[in-house]
Amino acid sequence: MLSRVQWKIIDALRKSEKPIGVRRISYMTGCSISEIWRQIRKMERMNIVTRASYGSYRRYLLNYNNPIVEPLLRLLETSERYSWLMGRDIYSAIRQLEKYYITGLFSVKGLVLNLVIPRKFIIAVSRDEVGKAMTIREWFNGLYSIEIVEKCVEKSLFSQDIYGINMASPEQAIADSAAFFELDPMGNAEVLLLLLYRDLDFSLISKLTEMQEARYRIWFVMRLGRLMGMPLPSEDFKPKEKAGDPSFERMMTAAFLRLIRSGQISGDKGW
Amino acid sequence: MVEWFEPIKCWEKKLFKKESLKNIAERLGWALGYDIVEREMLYYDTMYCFLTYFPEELVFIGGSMINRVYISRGIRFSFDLDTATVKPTSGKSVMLGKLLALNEILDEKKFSIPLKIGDMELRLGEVMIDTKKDIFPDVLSLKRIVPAMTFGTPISQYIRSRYGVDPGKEPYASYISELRNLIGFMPMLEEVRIEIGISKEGFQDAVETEVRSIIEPYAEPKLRLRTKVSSLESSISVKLKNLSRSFSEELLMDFVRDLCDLRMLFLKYDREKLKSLLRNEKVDVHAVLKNLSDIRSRGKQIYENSWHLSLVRESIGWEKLCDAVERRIKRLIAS
Repeated sequence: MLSRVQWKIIDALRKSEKPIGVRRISYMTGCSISEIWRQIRKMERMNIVTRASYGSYRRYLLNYNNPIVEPLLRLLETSERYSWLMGRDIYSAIRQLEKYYITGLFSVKGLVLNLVIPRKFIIAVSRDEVGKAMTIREWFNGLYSIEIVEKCVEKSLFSQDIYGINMASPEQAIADSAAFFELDPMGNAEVLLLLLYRDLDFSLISKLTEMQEARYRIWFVMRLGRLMGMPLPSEDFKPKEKAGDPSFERMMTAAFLRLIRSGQISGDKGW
Repeated sequence: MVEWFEPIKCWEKKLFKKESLKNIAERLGWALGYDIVEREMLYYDTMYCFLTYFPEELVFIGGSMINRVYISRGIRFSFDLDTATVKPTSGKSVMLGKLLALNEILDEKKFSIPLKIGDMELRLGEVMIDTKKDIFPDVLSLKRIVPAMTFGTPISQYIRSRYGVDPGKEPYASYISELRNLIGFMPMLEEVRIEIGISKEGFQDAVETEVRSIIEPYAEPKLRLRTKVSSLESSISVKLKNLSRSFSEELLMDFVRDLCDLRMLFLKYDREKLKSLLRNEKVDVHAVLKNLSDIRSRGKQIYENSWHLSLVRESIGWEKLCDAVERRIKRLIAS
């Protein structure tokens, strides 16, 4: 087990291009010269560092011939990269971002009628925070499924929930689910079904949905709703060119059938 | 704003005037039946676009078909579009995609047009599921919303009852008032009922024919429907089956209606084929005869008062109808 000072020494030697002396190490680590002397002798014995003598001057460098050094360096790099996330839960980690919001099924989970559990976090972030968001995604890999979407967050609609997390408004979530449907098909299908049973500002959804493909998806869902007699403004979303996505339509129709079979939106039981 | 009858493509637009409708009704001898003339025009248009463009082969069946294809004199007014799938079909779910495809075609061919009222979009001519009636797993109940002038529900009342909005409030009030001023009458909406029978066996006993309108020859459709209809023998068999059910007062209206349609027995049909169909369907023709005496004694009032049967009444009296049908059923049994 390496001590804190020993880790600092490894870090200092790693950053230095040539062998360095104890004074220099002390300066770089912020530890006293006597402490560095004590620790570096131990590290020499452990064969982690090696000495290079220039006359009476002693210089030290990492012993790359020792097979443990490479893994130690990797560990150091990893802890450095994720240090700001260590000990944080997912919400606390997401709160470290500034220009972001959560969209998709997580953002509207209290509004959906079908009993589905959100499985993916879709985080929309501004360009300058993509790297940070990707680090969150890496850190929680295996624990949570996270997708990162680069967006102009300033033009999006969201608000903070009780945990202080930015959550997309239902209209924004619908526009996003239509645009990034493939990121979480099952979850996004449920979000799109909100079009059929929640009071929404359709003109706002239209403004938030620029991509033709996304407009086609909303158009398709609205047409399913129209089949049940809902006067949804599908014409506003009709794609300019003939569009079709059989796999999207199959998935959406199946989700729609689950909804109408339950009788929750139409009272219809004949399916 | 829209031209009100734009989605109706089977008839000349000039016919959608009260004078024209009245004129046709008078020539048909339906003194006050100008609304029936309009109803038939909207029904024919629905029949045409639905049976022509539905993306799966359908057979036109039921009373409306019988009274347009097989019975030519003294027809019974019927405006439900009953159909069945030709191919075996396992359930209604597969029909969703077909309905979407149908509506897309209707949209392309302008049999359906949008009508935007505030944040709502009604589509005149669109086909949708009739959620109130769609309760049976083997029948898909649909409706087509059509524009009307002399019958149906005023648009203000329609949007109130269907969508729960107050038509007296803006933007609905202004829109309706503008629309009314533009077209010159209170815009009405009617829902033409459509049913698709779904079975694992499909419906094979069909013949292709041209379907005429009941207001011909005084007005002829621009587009004529040619489609598959159930054969005469199949149609008779179904009516006999209906009449073989245990008698009850609730079914009396249906019994009288089926009895009127059994005037198909007066036509020339393939007796052996009919008997075979009756055997296959296990139709108890003796039960029909037994029911006939109850229907005869209790159904007269319905026969005499129903407007649907007014033309049937003109062509044949109740007793005579019962006698004639009974005689033909007995002859069928005897042979």
